[in-house]
Amino acid sequence: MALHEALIALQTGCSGLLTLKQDDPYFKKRLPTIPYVHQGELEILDRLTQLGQHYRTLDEYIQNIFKDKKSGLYILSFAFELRSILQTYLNCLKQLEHECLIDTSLTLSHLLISLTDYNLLFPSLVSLINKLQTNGYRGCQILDIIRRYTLDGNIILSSTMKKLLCSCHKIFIKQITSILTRGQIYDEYDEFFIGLNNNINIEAMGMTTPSISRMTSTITSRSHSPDRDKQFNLQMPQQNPTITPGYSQYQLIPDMLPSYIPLQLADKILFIGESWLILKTNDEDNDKNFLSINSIDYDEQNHRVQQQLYALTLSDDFNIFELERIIEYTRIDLSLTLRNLFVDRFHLCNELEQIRGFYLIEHGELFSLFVNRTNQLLLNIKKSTNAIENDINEIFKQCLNDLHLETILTNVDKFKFKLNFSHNDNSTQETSTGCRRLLSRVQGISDNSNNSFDFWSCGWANLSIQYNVKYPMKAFFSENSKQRYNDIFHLLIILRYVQNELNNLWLILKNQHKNSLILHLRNAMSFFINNFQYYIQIDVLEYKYQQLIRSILSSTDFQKIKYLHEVFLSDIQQHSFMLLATAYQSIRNILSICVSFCLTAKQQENNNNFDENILRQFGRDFNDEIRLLFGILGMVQKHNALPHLGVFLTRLDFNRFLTNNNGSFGEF
Amino acid sequence: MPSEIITLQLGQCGNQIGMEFWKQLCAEHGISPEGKLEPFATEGSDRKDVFFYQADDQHYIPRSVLLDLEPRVIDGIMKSPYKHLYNPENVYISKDGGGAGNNWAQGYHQGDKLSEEIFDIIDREADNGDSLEGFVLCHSIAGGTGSGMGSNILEKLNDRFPKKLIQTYSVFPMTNEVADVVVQPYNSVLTLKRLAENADCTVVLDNTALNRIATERLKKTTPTFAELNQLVSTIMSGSTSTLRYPGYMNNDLISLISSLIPTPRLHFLISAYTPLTSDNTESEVRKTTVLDVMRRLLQPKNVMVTTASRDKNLTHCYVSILNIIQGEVDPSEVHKSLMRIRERKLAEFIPWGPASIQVALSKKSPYITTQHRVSGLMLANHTGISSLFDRICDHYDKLIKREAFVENFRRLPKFKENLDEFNDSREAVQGLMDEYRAATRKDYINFGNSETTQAE
Repeated sequence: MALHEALIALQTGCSGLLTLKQDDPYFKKRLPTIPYVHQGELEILDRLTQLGQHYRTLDEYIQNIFKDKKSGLYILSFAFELRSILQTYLNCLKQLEHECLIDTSLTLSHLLISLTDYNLLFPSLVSLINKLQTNGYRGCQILDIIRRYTLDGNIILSSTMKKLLCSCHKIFIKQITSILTRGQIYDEYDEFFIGLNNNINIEAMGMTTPSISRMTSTITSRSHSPDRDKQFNLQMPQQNPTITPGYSQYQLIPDMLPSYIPLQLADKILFIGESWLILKTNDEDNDKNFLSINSIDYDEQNHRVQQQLYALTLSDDFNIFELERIIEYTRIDLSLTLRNLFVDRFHLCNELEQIRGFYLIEHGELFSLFVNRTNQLLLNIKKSTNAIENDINEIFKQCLNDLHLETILTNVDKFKFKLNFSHNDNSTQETSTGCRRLLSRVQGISDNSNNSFDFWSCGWANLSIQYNVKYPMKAFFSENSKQRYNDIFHLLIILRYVQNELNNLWLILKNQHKNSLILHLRNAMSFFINNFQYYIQIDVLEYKYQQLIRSILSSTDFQKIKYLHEVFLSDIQQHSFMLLATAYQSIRNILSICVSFCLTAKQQENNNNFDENILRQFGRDFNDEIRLLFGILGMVQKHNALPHLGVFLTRLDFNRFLTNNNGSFGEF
Repeated sequence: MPSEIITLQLGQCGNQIGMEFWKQLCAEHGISPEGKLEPFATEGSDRKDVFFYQADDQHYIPRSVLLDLEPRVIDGIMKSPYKHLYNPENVYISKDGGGAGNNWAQGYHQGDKLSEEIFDIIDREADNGDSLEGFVLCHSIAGGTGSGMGSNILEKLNDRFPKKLIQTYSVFPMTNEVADVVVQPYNSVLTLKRLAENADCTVVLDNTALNRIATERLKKTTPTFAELNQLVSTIMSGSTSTLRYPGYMNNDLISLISSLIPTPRLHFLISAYTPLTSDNTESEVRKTTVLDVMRRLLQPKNVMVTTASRDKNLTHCYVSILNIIQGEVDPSEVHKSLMRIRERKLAEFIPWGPASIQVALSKKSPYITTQHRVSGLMLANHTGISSLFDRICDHYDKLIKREAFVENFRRLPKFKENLDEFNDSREAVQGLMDEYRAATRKDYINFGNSETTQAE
């Protein structure tokens, strides 16, 4: 009798005798005593009922998953595996029932003993699914949770959990296989840790070519049991879930990344996916098959990778090292192909040479001429119009022609000057209050009715280059790197402008054979600007650039080349003090003081009597900023944070004038 | 074509060094003596247009004006393989062909008389380019034509083109032995005044030092004129190499000059070049590094001006230094060399302002093979140059005390009434020497200003 009750209870969580409150897992409402059952047996019955209750919870969970079309592949796979565990439980019950029928003298204890394993297992499983449900974990996230449950000293518990994990890993590996062998994301429910980057700029979107891959269905079916496949097919809507987007539209989704997959590995997978995109994307005017560049048979290789990855799913223990090995192997192959493609076929170095020509102002004579010819134009404009931009670009082309540089800077059509006045708000205006104060003083005396002049709002301070990068170089020059190139260009072009102004002032002053304060101030400014320019252009840019080219040519790894390029950019930004906010601000202030000085001096050219007080004020402001900058850089130097900084400081202080004069360039 | 430079070659010496200069330039740019671009030189990234322009038939023609009062040297050029290089309209020889007789006054007077014709040529040449940057004048200050006519042209150039740069390569006479021209000190002092007042930058080439370098470095017992002129052309081509083979910086004359010359009067530059080779001797320098080159450039024995490092209780010092390094150079080498020079205190700098060794990296001409990986040129502003002026003034003072040979001057307009011109010039040179000496002191900033306030 009790046995019968127990068996029912084991399946349903309740029986006629042992009515439990549905919503109360810790059944308190059991009849306190049942006359024909011994008190001890009652206890056992309670425990068995508890087990049945767990079974029901699990079963309901599975049923819900199967009903819900949106639960995703991972959860589904998990549910399937869970179902098979429950199946073994049911089988076990069947066995027990059979035994009970044969031998009526069996005790409740026998049941309890036979089900010991489930007694351990079910509470864990319930707690697992509770966790999954309450937190709404999905996709790759559940891997982490399940994995945590596998770390248990109890062998039965951990091996069952491993089975569950393994079933989810099958999906995981399938997704990895898809991206590894053809660069596609097979991920209908947004469960993978690599996803489409939706914030991509329009430029890149233009080349998105969603194509339907025939291969998809074959991959999915390869390692599936037919019964599962049916399930999947049911779940799969009509549209094809794989997408082949344009380059660099993949991104890591950190939330989805299981903690036991190293970020590096994820990066490699991402890189492989992106590489496939490059190799497979056929630009409208570029129908070549880049895969043929290497003699590697990709079909065979892909097949091998698939086999290896499939082998991974067979073992209960997920072998992360093997996964890493396979991925690294694939990555090296692809990376070499890409390296050959970019360096040999697309002449990456030439492209960089062009970049250097435009952004890094390699051809000094070109930009000197350009600065000379657009000097006034750019100084006087406050807002951008197409006409002005066209003018500037025309002037630049004319300069290029005049210097016969068309054959060297061949990509002139891809580079356009842009005037970008958007970021010109209060923050930048504050910086120039110093020079404005000065100018207003000048105006107060010279009765000039000009509005106060702010260098950072004129054309020179807002000139940038728009680089229309074509496929496939897009893969190399990201929007971010273009922005960084522009930041450097911004500094270089202003330096050149200021230098040009100071030189023009020299020309104006050259026929006054008088030893005057204005000359000395001009010299000090010119000394700073020239040395700063030399430091940036030669000590930093040229040096780092040569380093970059050398390592590109000697590397066989495209991912590393990309990485080196990023390092190059951040290096030069760092060494030109752009990342040291206070120092950079100080440099900007120095630049604007120099400009104001030159413009004021020019205004005074005709009446030939530069007010000495204004002059001294310029000198003092200049010195203050120099002292500040020298102080900041000195501190940085002490911490040895920038290895090249010493070069700059040595140049500025070569005859120890700064040191001996307490960081100033003379008495003004 | 932007930032063109017009070269004016004056007198015997000026035309000889000019000739060598153009030879060197042609070789460096792959231009044949007839002005044709050599087939191997068609794809250069060099800038030929600064110093040349192209004729209708694509010939390269130097932006050069050849002037002399006597035909001998120019005739020589016109008989050389380079006779078709120059624009014949730019070759001007005075019709009477009598020369200036080593007399400054004669040269100056002739220059005055012929100025209209001369400036016709110069104006035409200046209009030829679209933004002329400046003039380069080659001459000697000892003879008659280069010094006298040169002085006259300098005055007029400065008047006519006040915003253009005027650079001169001026050969200074030997001062340590008996001069072959007796009035040489007169000529020199009179010319120095014009150089000080009307030129923006003067590269001083001291014949004494040139001879010494030629004998010591090139192992020649008696160097020929041609060899000395070659030294000069090496300096001239070297100092313009960043204009012709442009890189990141220093691509125009102004940027070279403005960083060297802090105040307008201190514009007399000394120069050095290393390693030097001549056609038939092998150089003793076998290995060149940037440090070697920069160190050698600072050694007085390599400097093309003989200067004293100390005189009258003051230590002379560098106002500024520009090193033009040619060849394959790793930027970090330059820095290491600078550090070393600073540690060893190989160069003494002014105490009144910031100063350093500026470095300009320049490409080498691909058409000239040299044994050396790196070569270097120094242009420097050094206060010791005043000792050279001092020596010239010494000789001058001795002569003028006796009023020796002044008769030849008195015959000409500028000196007919009195010899004030002599005194003015001597005073101007004295002022220049004083200013250079003052530049060794900490209070140079106030030099001149305090005097004027005292005078008021």
